[in-house]
Amino acid sequence: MNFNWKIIAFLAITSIVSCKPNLDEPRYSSGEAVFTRFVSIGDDFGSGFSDGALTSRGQNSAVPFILSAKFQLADGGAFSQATMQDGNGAGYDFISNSLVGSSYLSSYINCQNKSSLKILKNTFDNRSLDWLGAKYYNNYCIPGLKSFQAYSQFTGKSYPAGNVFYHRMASDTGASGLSSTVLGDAQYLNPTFVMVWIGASDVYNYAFSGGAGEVGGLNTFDITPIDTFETAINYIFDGLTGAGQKGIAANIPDLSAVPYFNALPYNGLKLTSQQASDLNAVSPPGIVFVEGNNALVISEPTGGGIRQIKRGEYILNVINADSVNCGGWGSPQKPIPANYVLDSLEVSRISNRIAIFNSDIRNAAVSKGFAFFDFNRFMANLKNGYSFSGTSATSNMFYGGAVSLDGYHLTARGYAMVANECIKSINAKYNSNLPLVNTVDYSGVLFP
Amino acid sequence: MRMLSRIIILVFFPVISFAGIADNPLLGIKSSAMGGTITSIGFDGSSAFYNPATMTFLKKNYINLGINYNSPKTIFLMNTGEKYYSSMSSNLPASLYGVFKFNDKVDIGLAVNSPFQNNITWDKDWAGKYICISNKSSVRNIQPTISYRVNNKFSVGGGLMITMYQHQLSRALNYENASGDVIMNYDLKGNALGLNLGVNYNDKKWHLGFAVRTGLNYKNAKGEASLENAPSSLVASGVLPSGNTEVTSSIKLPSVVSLGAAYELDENWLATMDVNIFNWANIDSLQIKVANYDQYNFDIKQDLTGSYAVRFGAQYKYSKKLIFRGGFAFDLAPVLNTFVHPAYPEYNKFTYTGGASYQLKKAFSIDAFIGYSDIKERRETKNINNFNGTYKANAFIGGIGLNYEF
Repeated sequence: MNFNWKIIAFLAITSIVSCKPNLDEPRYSSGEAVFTRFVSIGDDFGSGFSDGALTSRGQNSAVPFILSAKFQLADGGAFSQATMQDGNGAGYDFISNSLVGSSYLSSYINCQNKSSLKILKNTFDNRSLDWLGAKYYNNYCIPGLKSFQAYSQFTGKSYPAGNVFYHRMASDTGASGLSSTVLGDAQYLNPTFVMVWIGASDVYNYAFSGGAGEVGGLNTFDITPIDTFETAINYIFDGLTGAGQKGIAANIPDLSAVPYFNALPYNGLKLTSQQASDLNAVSPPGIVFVEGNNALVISEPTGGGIRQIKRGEYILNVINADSVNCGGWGSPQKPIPANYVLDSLEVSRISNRIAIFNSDIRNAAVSKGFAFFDFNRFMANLKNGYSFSGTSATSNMFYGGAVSLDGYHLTARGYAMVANECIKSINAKYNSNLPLVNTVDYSGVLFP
Repeated sequence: MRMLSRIIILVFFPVISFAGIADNPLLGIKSSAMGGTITSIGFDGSSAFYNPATMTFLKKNYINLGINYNSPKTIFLMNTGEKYYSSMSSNLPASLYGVFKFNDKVDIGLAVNSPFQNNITWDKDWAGKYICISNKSSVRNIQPTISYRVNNKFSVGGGLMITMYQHQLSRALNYENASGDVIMNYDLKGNALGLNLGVNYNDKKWHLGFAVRTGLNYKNAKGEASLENAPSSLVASGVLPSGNTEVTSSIKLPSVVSLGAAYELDENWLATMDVNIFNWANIDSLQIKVANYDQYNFDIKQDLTGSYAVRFGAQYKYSKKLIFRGGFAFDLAPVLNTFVHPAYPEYNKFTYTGGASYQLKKAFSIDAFIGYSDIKERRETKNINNFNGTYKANAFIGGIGLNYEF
């Protein structure tokens, strides 16, 4: 018996303790892209705007910010943002025309005595828009920024009516009377890779105001004139690709894919046969109610007439289900006011402009050799669901998980899904092999 | 006794330092040391389970008490670049076997063991949390057995497997509040009977065996689902169930056909080989249904194929008191045509084993084995709802047993 048990035991134990399975991560490469200095320019969607406000939490899931973390696995550099103060952040209420804080969900008993959910708004904290000092950042996606405002001095600090979200991060002091511009600030960092995701505010400010502005104007609630938009898009692309820089561009979603305009269905008036005949008795000619679902009654924008809303027309998510189910709204006695409705004329104007702007964006992207993310198609597909990590998200309000409480901007998880599609597009265009984003690490809607 | 204490240290140390998962278990300590080969020749009481026919060719009565341990560790490298490890969770399946000479021709036996085991736990916030966070299932088997020697060469045997199935698993539902995800825990049990039949042929130095264990069908498995961290608003509005909900399932486990051969090279050396065939082919889905809440059912749909294991072993009698054993096995996984599921992240596997028996007193001896399984890498590109990445695993296995013969 000459076995050296000590040695055998030692070897067995050390081999057991030291050995766990391992897999090597692939080496990530930027391919033909150069991510060294990544700068993004755009509006709400690229800023991380979520739940009706820009918050520091939301900025952590801004698409360019998520992308920058993946770029850093290859040759990407640091990515700075004009981070909001922790707290409720700042947003804009189109109906009350005022600044508000972020939204949250609350549980309540609805008018039909059922447990339901409603959206409440935090108060807006003035300090969250304080100027951060003369600095430059990598993310120039600024809530509410329209295409032509990106290089307009009227957006800047010298003009109180400019963009307050830009004012807080503008590079100039505002004292000289000459304002810095968003594009100028973005150019300052001499980017090697660019994300351009602008144009939504050029159309959606009009939509959110219920069509209060002009079609083809430069005011807040207007739809930007076509030639202005085309000039602006080309100016932005040219301004950031002077040395042949590459990047990625993204477009604008169509109304039909935005839950805010689809939260209350056009035929959301549910009636019993008794209620239907009672209403028929007092209804003007041409309006007939039946048992079941009925088209809601709206006011005509002019002339004081009322009519039933048609399929393809939208009601702003200002009228909630309680107002219809119990408050009598949407009936001939209480027609939904015209400024809460996008009628077929307004809808067609918006949709046409979105189609034109989207083709402008795509043309510019193609001519500059950019990768392209079709956000419009992404939102359309999201109605049926986007699957990831053994589950899926849809664009349903509250329960879908991808669209935030404001019904328009995405949740952190939604933005992570967008970042994934951007990465796929970048990898395909530039032969890079960046890994996808783990969408599960980003939150959807938080329930009370 | 000093050597014994060393064997105990050798075998028990990993048991203390790792808690393990048992899966596709090697339950008889002696045969486990030989790569799991046992169908053609009985070593002790465990023959009641592995081939009832071999009982009558045992020379004595046996009582065997054993405890196994198995510690698979799985890594998942997601296509996002993140690495996730399954955590070790404690599982030490015990087994008890007895074989007694009833008369010259008939032996009776009893097997109490856990022929199917699975136990895996991932982190609560890992990337696959919506599919599975933890999955623990086991079959407990009590099997009275009888064996009849037809002549000096040939015997038959059979046992009735009285089994109980237990399954606990958890996963996240796609709802969250400020403190995290909603977790659903499923817990169910079922009962089933099975048959364990075998034949054994012995001629001079050759031993041949054939055994069949029928599939187990838990038609009416039942239990409860419970929720953790459920937002009150979702419970109040009925999106989530309030309180525990009934769950039901019909669970099938495969039949196992085993073929074995053994050859005595000389007085001291024995060489063995087994093939096991697992009939997974008609088991494609596992569904645990949640009453009134179909959307929270736990579903696995795979296109499984029949799988097999090929096993080789050898035994060397070093002295009257000390016997050494070694072995090797290859397991082909049933998921070649389908995806690896994170609740059962198994794939093709090579296992290497070694062990020994040492006689303490005339009737008492101690058996022990240790082994290592290398579970091959598998890359998934079209997994459930885009959950893609690469799996790899290994496992340390071991066991210690008391052998009483008279």
